[in-house]
Parts: sequence; C-alpha cells; structure tokens
Amino acid sequence: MKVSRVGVHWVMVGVATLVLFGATLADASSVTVGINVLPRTLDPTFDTSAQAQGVYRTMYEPLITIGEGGAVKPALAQSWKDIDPLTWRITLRKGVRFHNGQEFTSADVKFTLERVLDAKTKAPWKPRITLVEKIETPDPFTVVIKTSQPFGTLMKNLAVIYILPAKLWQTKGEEKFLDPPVGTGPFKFVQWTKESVIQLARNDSYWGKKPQIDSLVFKHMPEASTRLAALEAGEVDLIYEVPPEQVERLKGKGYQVSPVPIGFSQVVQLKTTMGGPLTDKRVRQAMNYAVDKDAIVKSLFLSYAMKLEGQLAGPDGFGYGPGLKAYPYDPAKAKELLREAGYPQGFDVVWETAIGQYPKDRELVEVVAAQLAEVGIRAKVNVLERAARTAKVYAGTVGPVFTIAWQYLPAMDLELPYSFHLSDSIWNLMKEPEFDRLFVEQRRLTTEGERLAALRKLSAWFRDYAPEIFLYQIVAIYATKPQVERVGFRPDLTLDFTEANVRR
Amino acid sequence: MLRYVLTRGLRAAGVVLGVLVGAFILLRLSGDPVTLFVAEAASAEQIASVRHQLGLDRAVHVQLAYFIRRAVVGDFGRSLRLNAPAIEVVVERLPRTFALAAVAILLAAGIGVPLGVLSALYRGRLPERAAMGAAAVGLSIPTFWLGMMLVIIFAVQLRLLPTSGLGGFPHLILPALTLSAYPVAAIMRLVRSGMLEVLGLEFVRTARAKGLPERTVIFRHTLRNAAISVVTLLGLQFSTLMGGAIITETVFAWPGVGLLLVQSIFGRDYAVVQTALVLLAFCVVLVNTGLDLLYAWLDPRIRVTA
Repeated sequence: MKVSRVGVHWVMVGVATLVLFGATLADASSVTVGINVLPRTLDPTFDTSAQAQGVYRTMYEPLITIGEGGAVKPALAQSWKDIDPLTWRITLRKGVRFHNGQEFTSADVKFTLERVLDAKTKAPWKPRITLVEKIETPDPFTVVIKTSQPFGTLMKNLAVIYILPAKLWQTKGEEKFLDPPVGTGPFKFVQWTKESVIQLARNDSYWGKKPQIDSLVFKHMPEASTRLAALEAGEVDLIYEVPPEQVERLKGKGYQVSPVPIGFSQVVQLKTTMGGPLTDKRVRQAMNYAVDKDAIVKSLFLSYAMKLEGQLAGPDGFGYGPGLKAYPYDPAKAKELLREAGYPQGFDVVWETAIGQYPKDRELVEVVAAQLAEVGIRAKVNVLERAARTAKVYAGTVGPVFTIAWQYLPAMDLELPYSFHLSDSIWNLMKEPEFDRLFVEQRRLTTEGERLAALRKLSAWFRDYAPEIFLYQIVAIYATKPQVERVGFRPDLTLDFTEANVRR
Repeated sequence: MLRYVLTRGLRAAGVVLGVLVGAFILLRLSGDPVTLFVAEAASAEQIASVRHQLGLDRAVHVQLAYFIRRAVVGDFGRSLRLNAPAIEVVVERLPRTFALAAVAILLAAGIGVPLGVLSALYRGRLPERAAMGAAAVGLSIPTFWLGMMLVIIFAVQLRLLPTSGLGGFPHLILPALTLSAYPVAAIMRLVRSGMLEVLGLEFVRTARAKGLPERTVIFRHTLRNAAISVVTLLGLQFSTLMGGAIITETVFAWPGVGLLLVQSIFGRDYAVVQTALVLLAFCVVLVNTGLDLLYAWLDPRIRVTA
C-alpha cells in the first residue's frame, strides 16, 4: 500500500502532538480537592476546624505529628527527652528552610510558642500548652521547655502548633507576616480567594520526601451535592464528606471510596449532676443495655460508622482498652437493672439536642429514644437551636440527657474527652473524686507506656461508671478519581499529599 | 419635587434604621455569641473577659445605641471568624452577588419580555399555554432543586459549563439562570397581562384604524405602556434576587454575600450577619427609592399625588 507524502506528514504531526500533549501532562500533575470547610484564615494559629488543620498541614509543620494509635512521630523536632519532671529538651531537625529561604532554628520555635501563650494573640489552642512556663534556646537547634507542673502530654499537644518564621514577624509585623503565608511544609502558598479557592505548589526544597504532584488546589464546596457534581464533572479529583447513600453509586462508576474512622465519638451523655434516676449507675448501665448499637450503625450509617467498645475512642485513640467490650443489646437485662434501681415502671427524662450538628443526629435521637421507651424510659426530646444548645452546654445546664460527639483528634488521645468529665469542668457532667484522681495520675506520667496503662485503667473505670450511652465512632467518607493514588487519609481528618500521585 | 425627594429620602432612612434595630434584636435573641469565641475548655473567667471585650456585659439598649452610632459611620465591628473589619468582609463580596443579580435580571428581561409579548399575541393558543405553563413551573420550582438539575444536565452530563465556584463568565451562567427562574416567570406573566390590558384600549384601536403596521402598534404603543410596570417589577425583583442568592450561592459555591451570610450565621459571626443584612437592605432601599424618583421625574402625576 502506498502512503501519500501528505498522509505521512499528517501522521508525523499527529505523533508530535501526542508526544507534546503527553509531555505537558507529565509536566503538570495536580490534585484538586472539593472541601466542605475552607480555612477562615491562613494564619494556622486561629482556625481549629479539622478541615483547616488539613490545609495547614500541607504548608506548615509542627514539631511532632501524631501517627498510628496516637503515637508521637518526629517532624521539625528530631528527638525529645524529659530531663526532669518539669523540663523537656527538644533537639530540632537541621537543614530545614522556610519557603522564603530562611533557615529554621530554635528562635522560630520560641517565637511561635510565646505568641500562642501571649494572651494578646487570643490563640484558641493556648489551653493545650498553658502549663508551659518558659522556653529557652541554648543553641540554634535545641529548645528547652520548662513547665509549671509535670506535663506528660506536652509533646502531643504540640501537634497543633505550627512553627512560624520569627524573622518575618520581626520585619513585617503581626498583621502582615503571613501575607503571603510562609511555612516549612511540603507545599508552598500560591494563591487564595477567600471562601473559594486555595492554591498550593510543591516545595522543591522540602527537607523530607518531596511530593510527586506539582500543585494542590482546595476548592470550597459547602454542599454535598455540589461536591458530588464537581467530582463527576471531572472538576475535582477528591471530595470530602460523601453521604453514605452515595457510596454504592460512586463505586459503580469507578470512583475510589475511602471510609476513614476519625477521632470523634458519638454518644448520648447522661449527666449525673442534675439529680434524678441518672445519678444511679445501674440506671445508666441499663440505658446502655437498652440500645442496639449494631442496628444503628447498620441501618442509619450503612455500616459507615464504628461501634464504640464501651469507651470514648476507637482503636486509633491513645488509651483505647483492647480488652473492653461494648454493652451488649439486652433489653431484659436493662429492665432487671431498672427494677433493682427502684424504677420498675421506668421514668421520664429530658433529652436536649440540636439538629444538624452531627451526622444524622435527628434519626439517631428518634431511634435511641424509641429503644429506651421499650424498657420504660420515656425521653422527652427537646430540640434546641444550635447556638442555644451550645450556650446551655457551657452554662452546664443542658440535659440531663444530651447528644454529643466527643472529639479526641487532633492528638488522638483520650485525655481530651476525659478532661471534660472532671469535677471542675464547666460542662458539669459528673463529680467523681475517683475519676479525678485517676485522671491527674495519668497526666503526671511522662513515659508513654506508663501513661497508656494509666489511661486504660481509666477507660475500664469509665465503662463501668457509664456516664454516657456509648454509640459509635464517626467515619469520614472520601471519594477520589480512579487515577489518583496514595493519598493518605488520617484519623484526624487531615489528608497527606506527600505520596500522592496522579496515574495516567 | 424637592419635597417629594425629601419625604422619599426620609422614608428610606427610616427603613434602614428599622433594619439596623431588627438585625440587632434578632441576633441577640438567637443565643449567646460568646460561647463560640472561647476555646473548648474555657474557664468562667475567660468567658467573662471575652464577654467584656465584646461589650456584651452592658445593658441591651446601651449596646444598641452604640451599635447604631458606629454603624452610621460604617463601623460594624470586627468579624471574629475572619479576623477583619466586618464591613470590609462584606464589601469585598458584594460585587460578586451584584454580578450574579445583574446577569439574572438581564436574563429575566431578555427571556421574560419576548415570551410575555408572544403569549399575549397568541392568547389561548399553544405558545401562550406553553409559556404560561413554564411560568407556573418557574414560580413554584425550588431554587435548590433547579440549581442541582441544571448542574447535572449542563455540567455533569453535557460538560458544557463548570459545576460551581468562582471564575469567568461561564461560571456565572448556571447560577444566574437558577436565580432568574422566578423573575423570568413573574415578568412573563406581567408583560402578558399588561399587553392584554392595553391591547383592548381605544388608542390601540385608533392606531390600528390609522393603518399603522401591526409591528408599530405592538412595540411602540402597546409594549411601551406595559413597560412601566415591568420596570417596577424589575426593581422589586432585586430584593427577591438578594434573598435567592443565599441558596443559589450555597449550591454553586459562589463566594458572594449570600454564602457569606450562611457561613456567618452558622459561625455565629454576628458582626458580619448584621453588616450583610444592613448593606443588602440598604441596596434594596436605594434601588427602590431610585426607581420611585425616576417615575416621579418621568410622570408628573406621581409626584403630585404622592
């Protein structure tokens, strides 16, 4: 067959075009994320939402990060040691540079921590490190932190404090030093349109493993239907918060769906400080026996939730007791306990809740209230406006029954949810000297193993005391295009893009 | 005329003041904003100190007087959520909402007027029935649903337009179309009834009797007379559009004042909610007063009777 010269030319042009096209694809790989909440500010000191933390983690870095099961992993800090109960010595990583080229040193750590501690800054994370008294910098790569009391969770609590450039603050001032944002993270800032888009690019001089993708974009999409449409139209590569009902449909279309248990434990709180039947442990246990947790997980969440094993964290939380089990569903046992406690006819109780605060909270209240009614506990459900509920929670007057998801992210440590149950907490949940004693005991311990054992002891005590109906750990569901590989989904609701790759 | 302008101006100022007071009271009724600005484990003293900083520990009428005095000079306090002056936050987003509303109004006039004329001329026949059926749908369809349907058809299936977000003109089309559904239908119906009314009047008969071409009768005589009420309706639709923007902007992730308002309400950022409400009300009042003055200038009967 004779091929005309003109034809050959066209073939060559075609091949060249393909090659060039392929080359441009190879040059620019990018991941665009449809996110439900965009950070309100790019100064990582102020927005504590888990989604914001996820965006900050790409640009900025803390001294340590939290790994599997709540273990502490080095980041900008290379190693640390408690030289005495009130002193920590932290050795910093060498050869780290901020995005503007300046070297990262102990002066930056001192500046960042002091800024968070300064009341003028109004940093919401301040309570996390409030026991820190003094920060010394004996040399550029050593930081010595003195605390006012033994502070076993100091390193963990540093996971949310992102190290910022001290020199820029000195030259540009408080208002301007992060405009544009400058951190040490694997991605650097490119552009931000408030409440719309944040655009980042790979930091080619990153100290660790450099990301494979060239750019990373976060697009604000508050509505789930908007995110789904954008994913299916090919405008975004990954979306946050997929409704469980959409999972099968997306899977059918070839999308990857990643369910990830996160550090939020959904419970029904039973306050023991407002008198009435709830002050009796047997009543609270009966309420735990009366609720069918497995059925709720299966029917309300299509199994995209993880039943809690009688404690306030899943296996990803530090302090999780592997030996503990959930209260089984046993209405007969519940009735028996109620009879023993002197309530053979059951009782009435007020349940205060907001709607739309936690996943499927309206359905949850309906199902649990119906199951409690089966054993004679008549919950009078009082739906409050969200802000009104929050106000009552802080005033300690909500309830005595109320719906809440206890957060143990970002530290992935049970200390945080337990701290709200202390006798002097403004939440006014319970007053139990034994619990307070166990809590203080674990806080003083500075070696991880000892503290883990102490927390587990506390968890076992807590399950028996039953100050809540333990329900399930919340599961976040993400969907990604089939071409996007190796995005790290962390239990603190942040994403890791350092390994991410876009396959062709 | 001066008297007329003055009374209209005073009335407009009264409305804006009413909105200021209303916004203030409603927000105070809906809960204590302090709880959202303190850390999760705040102590009673911390809460008290934040309350003092925000001036929330003073008597309500003192707070209100202070609020109005500052608002008059454009100081609505700081957005605690975005850590910037509230007025700046809102003004930054206003042009985006205006762009959406402007395109929607243009679409509404561009689609609504011709269809209204058509259905008046083809009264009782297929074009009228189709147009009026569409109008009934346009008036009753939920904005949220319509927006999602347009996205599924034009963005997901046909991939002609972007699904959401800020961008160039293509990004504006679907949200503006969604927003214009109601005004298109309203204008269509108004033009139709206005035309029908005028078509039966004597001067139209005279015009026809004079032997004027039908085109001239319709466009120069009939439509022109019906146009006055259409302009009024467009002005009124402006406030509907501002309200509709809240849902449309959320569905299309369009970062205008509507989306800001929703986010600020959920974030209890009351300074921004107040500012947005007051500025939107101010714009609506401005547009309506402007239209009032325009009529008075156009038609002496209005300023005499008013």
